[in-house]
Amino acid sequence: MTEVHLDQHEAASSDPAAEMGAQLRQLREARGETASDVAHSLKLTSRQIEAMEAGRLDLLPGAAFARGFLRNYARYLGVDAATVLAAFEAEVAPRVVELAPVSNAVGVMPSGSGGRSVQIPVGLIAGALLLVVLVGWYFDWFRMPEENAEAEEHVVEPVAQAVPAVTSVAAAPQGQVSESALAASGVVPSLPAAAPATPAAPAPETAAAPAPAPPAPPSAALAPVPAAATAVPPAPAAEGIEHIVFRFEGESWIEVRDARGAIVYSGVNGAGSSRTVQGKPPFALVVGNARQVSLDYRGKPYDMKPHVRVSVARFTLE
Amino acid sequence: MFGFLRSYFSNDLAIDLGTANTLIYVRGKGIVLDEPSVVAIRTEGGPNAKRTIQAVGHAAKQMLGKTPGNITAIRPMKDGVIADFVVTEQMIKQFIKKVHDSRMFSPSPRIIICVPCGSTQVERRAIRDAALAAGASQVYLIEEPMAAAIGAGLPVSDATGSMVVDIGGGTTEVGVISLGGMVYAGSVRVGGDKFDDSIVNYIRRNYGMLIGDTTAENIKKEIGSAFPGSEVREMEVKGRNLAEGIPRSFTISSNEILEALTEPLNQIVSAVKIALEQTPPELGADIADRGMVLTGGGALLRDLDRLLMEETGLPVIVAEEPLTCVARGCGMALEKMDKLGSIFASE
Repeated sequence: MTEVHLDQHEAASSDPAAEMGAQLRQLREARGETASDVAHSLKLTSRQIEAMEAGRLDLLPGAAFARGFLRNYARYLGVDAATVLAAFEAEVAPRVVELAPVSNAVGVMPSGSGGRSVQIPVGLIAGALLLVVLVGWYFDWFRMPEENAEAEEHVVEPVAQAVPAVTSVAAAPQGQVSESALAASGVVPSLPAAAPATPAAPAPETAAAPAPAPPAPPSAALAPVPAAATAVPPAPAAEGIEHIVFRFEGESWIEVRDARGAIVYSGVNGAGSSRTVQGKPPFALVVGNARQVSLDYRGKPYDMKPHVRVSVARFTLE
Repeated sequence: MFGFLRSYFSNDLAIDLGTANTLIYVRGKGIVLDEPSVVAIRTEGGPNAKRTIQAVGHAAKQMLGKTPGNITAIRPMKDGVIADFVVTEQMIKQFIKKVHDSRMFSPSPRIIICVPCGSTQVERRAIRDAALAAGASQVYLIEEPMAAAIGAGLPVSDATGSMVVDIGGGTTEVGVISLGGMVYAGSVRVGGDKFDDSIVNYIRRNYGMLIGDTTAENIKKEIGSAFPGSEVREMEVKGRNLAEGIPRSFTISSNEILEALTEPLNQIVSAVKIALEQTPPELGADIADRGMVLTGGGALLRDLDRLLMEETGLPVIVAEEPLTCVARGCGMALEKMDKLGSIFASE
């Protein structure tokens, strides 16, 4: 059946490949061998032998193998392999070999053990990081001066509080958490009105300096007390601010913290001086060399002897 | 950037650094060098003797076994890998110099070198380093069976199994390739050199004669055969009679050489059989249909294909120009180097 079919094909075409195939078959038949005999010797199939004899190399597995099979067959029959191959040249010309396997898709498999990992939006993350950096830079660069201003305000505050207290101006309420140093300076004009004593004038200038200033005129020291007495009542009524008046018979260090725990006053005071501190009660006090110090609270003398331990008193004023 | 310019101006090379022969393929030019891997080194007199390279390639091979005391002819490759690192490096350097015309700038090409698939990491590293020391800007390694299959024109990228048996000077490599990669790779350290050794030993044992490696190689090429049944040929050989100590000549037949080669040939046959055992059945079916392809100098041994055919019952074809298959395959990989990734071997 295949024999007949191949014969027809051979008759139809007169190309060199078919002619050479016919020659090969004649040679084989002259040796009295069948296609299967040859196939057995060359370890090919008789189908492949018949395909070669019919010049149908497309039935063989590819150019490189077809050439090899033809050479083996030619050698088996004892003919020159080169002439046989020349006849088949058109069909078994070595083709350009493709080195990379076929690909018709593009994509990367997710890596790692996570399996179905979420596609990470790299652009988004990079944008967010950039935003964070920009915001950080903005605050670092533009907001810094304001913070400094606030810090300055904090520094000024105790001064503003201390100044009216020391000078015991009727305008004490003004000292209540004045917004800025400007407010403190605003106190200055009222000073002469309450206490015409000139030494009071430099008081607002520095925080530490005012302490010794008021006692300088002893006569004036008396005046403030009643003034304070009259001036104080309205203050607590309005804001809950209380005054503590210290009198120092010897040198002493005191620290006063108000209700928030913030230090209202801390410093060393010389012998014979006095100091008025105001703030929101309860106050936490530490008074050094306590036996040499007496204090008035809410207008009454306060006995701090029970709190004194080794000349230092620690106690709280309600 | 300068590296790119430099490699643009210097021609890239593919080197088949074989135990017996070294072939160099230059991009766009084809195989431009085919020389034996032999270096002759001359030692100049004196206590701190300077060693200079006397000759490489064909000239050096003629000196093999015939050198006076101050010259040593060395084959720096053994069993497919570097046995003498320094000499190999010098040999590659000399060959590259021969290939490149002398220019103002010393050439620093990209180089593809093939390595036996059975070579260890250390051996691959040595080959890579030797090429780098010889002036390569980049070195790519490719496994020999892959290069051989490409050179033999097998459809390596198709989804069909192609089996290639590359019998080189030092190693025999058996590879089954599909979809551009190696499915199975096996390597035995048997090759042309082992054939020569077997012939030398056989003649010493049976004739009491000592012959040199070069003579043994000539005998193998002239009358060597791997399968009985074809015409018996004879050859006159000259050697030194061990008993008399005098050079004598004698005649040896191809059947005797067949006997001498039985042992190394059996090792190759068993390597092929192991490969067939290990091949996945689908690819095995392809191989049964198409057969295996022999490449390398060993494929030129008469009737080796018939031996494998009878032993395996599969069709066996010998590639055209089997000696240059690996170099041509390396060359084709070189031409398409920029588009390939999977073909190259890692260390």
